[in-house]
Amino acid sequence: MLSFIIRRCLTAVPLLLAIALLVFLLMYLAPGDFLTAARADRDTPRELVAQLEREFGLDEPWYVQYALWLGNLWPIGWNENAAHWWNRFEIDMDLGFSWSYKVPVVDLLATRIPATLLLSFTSIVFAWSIAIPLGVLAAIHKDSLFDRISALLAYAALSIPEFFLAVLAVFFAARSGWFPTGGLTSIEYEFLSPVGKFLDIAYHLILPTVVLGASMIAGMMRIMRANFLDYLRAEFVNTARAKGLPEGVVMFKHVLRNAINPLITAFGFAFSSLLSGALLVENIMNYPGLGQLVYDALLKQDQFVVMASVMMGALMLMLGNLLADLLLAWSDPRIRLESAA
Amino acid sequence: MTASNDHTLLSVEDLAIRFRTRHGVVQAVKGVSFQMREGETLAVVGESGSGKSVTALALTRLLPETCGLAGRILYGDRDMLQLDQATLRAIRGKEIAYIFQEPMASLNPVFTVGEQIAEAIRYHYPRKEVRDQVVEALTRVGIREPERRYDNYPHQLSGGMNQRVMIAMALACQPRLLVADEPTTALDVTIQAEIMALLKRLRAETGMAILLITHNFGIVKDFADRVAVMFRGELVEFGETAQVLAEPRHPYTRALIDCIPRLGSRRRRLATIDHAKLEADS
Amino acid sequence: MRQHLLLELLRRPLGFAALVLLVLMYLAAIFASFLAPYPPAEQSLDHAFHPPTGLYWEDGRVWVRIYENADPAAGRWVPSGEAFPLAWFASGYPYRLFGLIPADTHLFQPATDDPAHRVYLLGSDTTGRDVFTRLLYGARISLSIGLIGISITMVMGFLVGGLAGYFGGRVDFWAMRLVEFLMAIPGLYLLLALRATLAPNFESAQMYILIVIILAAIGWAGTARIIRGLSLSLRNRPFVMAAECMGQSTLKILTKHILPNLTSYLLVAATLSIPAYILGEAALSFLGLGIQEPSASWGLMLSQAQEDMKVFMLGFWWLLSPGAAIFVTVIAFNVLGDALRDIVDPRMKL
Repeated sequence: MLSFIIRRCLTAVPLLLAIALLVFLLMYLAPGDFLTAARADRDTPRELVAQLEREFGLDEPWYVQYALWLGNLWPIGWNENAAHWWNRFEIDMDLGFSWSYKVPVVDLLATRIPATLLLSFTSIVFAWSIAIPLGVLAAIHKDSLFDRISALLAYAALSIPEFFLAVLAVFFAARSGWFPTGGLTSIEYEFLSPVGKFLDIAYHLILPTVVLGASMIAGMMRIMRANFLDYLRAEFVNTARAKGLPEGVVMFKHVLRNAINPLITAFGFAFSSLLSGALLVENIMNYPGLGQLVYDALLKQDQFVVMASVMMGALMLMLGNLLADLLLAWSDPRIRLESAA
Repeated sequence: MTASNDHTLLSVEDLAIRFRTRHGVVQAVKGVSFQMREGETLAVVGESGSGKSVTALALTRLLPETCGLAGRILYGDRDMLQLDQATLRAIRGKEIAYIFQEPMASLNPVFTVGEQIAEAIRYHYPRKEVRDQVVEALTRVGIREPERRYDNYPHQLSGGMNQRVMIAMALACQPRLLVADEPTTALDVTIQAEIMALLKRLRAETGMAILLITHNFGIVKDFADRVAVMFRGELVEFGETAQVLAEPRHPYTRALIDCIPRLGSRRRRLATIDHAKLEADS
Repeated sequence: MRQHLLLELLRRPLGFAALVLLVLMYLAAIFASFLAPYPPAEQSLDHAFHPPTGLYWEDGRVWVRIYENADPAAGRWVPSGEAFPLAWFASGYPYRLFGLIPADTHLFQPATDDPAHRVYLLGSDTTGRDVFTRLLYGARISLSIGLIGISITMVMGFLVGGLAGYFGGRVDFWAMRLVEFLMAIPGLYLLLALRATLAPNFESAQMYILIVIILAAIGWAGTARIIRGLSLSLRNRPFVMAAECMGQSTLKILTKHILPNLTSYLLVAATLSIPAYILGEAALSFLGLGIQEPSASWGLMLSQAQEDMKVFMLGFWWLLSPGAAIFVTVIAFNVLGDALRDIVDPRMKL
């Protein structure tokens, strides 16, 4: 298992480098250079702009710029002054400076990324905890009323544009007053107890989670149903029944355990649209995550932020895929163990 | 090879099996009757589509709900077609056990083989520690290093070893009847011989009855006490093996026997079965 | 093969209904100029946020109720009691049918010359433009982007995926690395980044082409991967190997053996992928990064609708009709795609 993890991480490195190159090229090819807007902004001090120009080598040839970009991207820095040698390593990633937010981009990302990760996580948990039971039930009671109605609802959920659903959700929140219309925390957040803080965040997460999870549910449920039906016809199901096992055990131990694996694979592919969906939801529901940041920065032409966010988006996707792969390897012994000679 | 006593273990009377398909109703088995004695080995021979596998599955009602079953299947003095689910499940695995054709597909790929055998034991004899019994079962079927193999998954074992695992699993609760549905068809010829030898040995050790489903008359000769031949859902021949092989009465049986390739025969072409002619004859 | 598909589709009423619906929608989009009573950009500021005008039948003609603005602050319009008739196949604003033939006949026009007499089948928006008209013109954008985008995707997907699966080895390796690379960045993020780089200020027509290109550039990777899998399994089938043994040229094999067998799968993949394009364009336009004013696009109309929450607070529900249009289109494609997949290969994992 460990070798599997290491192998996967190693193959991720060239991909990361390629993405860094792409992002760099996009920055480089954008009209003007990415400090144009910064220079135009009157609040940004000249020295800062000059310093950024130096750090990113804006008047150097493109390969020098790329090297500087990579160097700045490399997160591990070396601090000569720390006491012990193991303290000499520190996190030092320089992704530029956001002239519109007036903070280093890294700091900005540090506040936004966890929020998006949190939303993604809750959406996944929400979607799966509904999709799996529904899919299994639909498969077991194939062609029943329940099956047909849930198929219809799944179609509908898949077809509603996500941003439309988000708009409807915000409207619903505004009209009913049951849910906050946006944000991650309330105004009194700072004054709440730890439990209060937890509940406050949970309260704000409900609507965005439901919106983001809705289309995931639909897709996952159909896949779960299809996989379950496939495995219902498997030979080992006959064997299980022939051993005298009760139907419940056959279904929920033997079939389900197998049917879940393709779902994990499908999830790996769905993670990309999860992040894209999160971008839309965050913007419409005013949720302070990475998606809201990148859109905002795009409009303001805060190029450093845009490119860093894209980079981080790719990174999160890669991590998500890696986790999905690991989950699959843990769940399906055929993936993590070699076959017989 | 002779039956150990004359008690009737299984009596199938006028069994008819119907399938409902998109293209109408298919009569897979049309009124089949036969009996099995305690400890005897009965071979059911026929080609694909003759209804032999379906008959075997029907014995413990392992067929899907869309199948219509008619007739009687008397196990002891109980009619299997009338029993409730709970009683059926108590019989399955414990008194009547199965092994199937594709050993790799018949085992669940995500559980270890040891766990699957343990499961078979645990459902009939609930207790916590069955590992020793599983290891013993693996040893009995000739698997070396059973302790290590316990924790292997089916895909880590060869086809022959998986079939041995299936046999171990089937025999774990010491059933009175073992139904073997084409157990060697998916295996290499040499492994086939090994598995058949294993079954012979286990049969001698336990005295269990075996219902062997096959399309290969070749393995029937040294193995079965009696033979039943099925053709298109009907039983066309039934009798002692030696008798049937020497003097087959039905033209289909004769055709099947002729199909067995023989060393030293001077025929230049292998015999095949002309279905149209058989339909006309029967 | 195509007749076979069509015949099979007839046996699946849902799928067939979806097909019919889509054909109707595309026809409506093509003949938008004919069906729409007004040009899409024509404003009528006196009639901002006008509700759909009620119609009724009298004396063999269709009459349109005239409304008066009862409460400007709340945007409430009530029927004034007067009405004007509609003329069918009447003369209206000029346009070019199929972009070539000059014409000025429209399906229906107000039969009066009074400019205050407006027929709003689906109400009007913030500057009094007819929503129905903009819906039809917006259909052109949304539906065509789907088709054009999918054509590019299918071609690219077949070229890269098909060749990768067929040749295997290094071609396959690098092709898959490329695909992985393109799929490594979340779709919308990449879309935004490309948009930032390539198009700070393009005008509408170029914008359209740009969006199609960007969407296709991102979309083809997924399709390529699927096609590669199919191509790989096809390649190992005996009939392909037989063709190779007989010495058929690679090009011949590709065009005579591989491609025809892939076609049905390509069709299913295409049908199931079009919704992503429609939704992608809608999302972009909704975010203000796609089709710009004064052109109409369903996403753009929705973003205008939700400004200031007016549509919800004051109940201008007709402004949400583009959302319904997107919904119906996407569902139709999904249903059709599912039906096609059932016909072609029910066990296909797409």
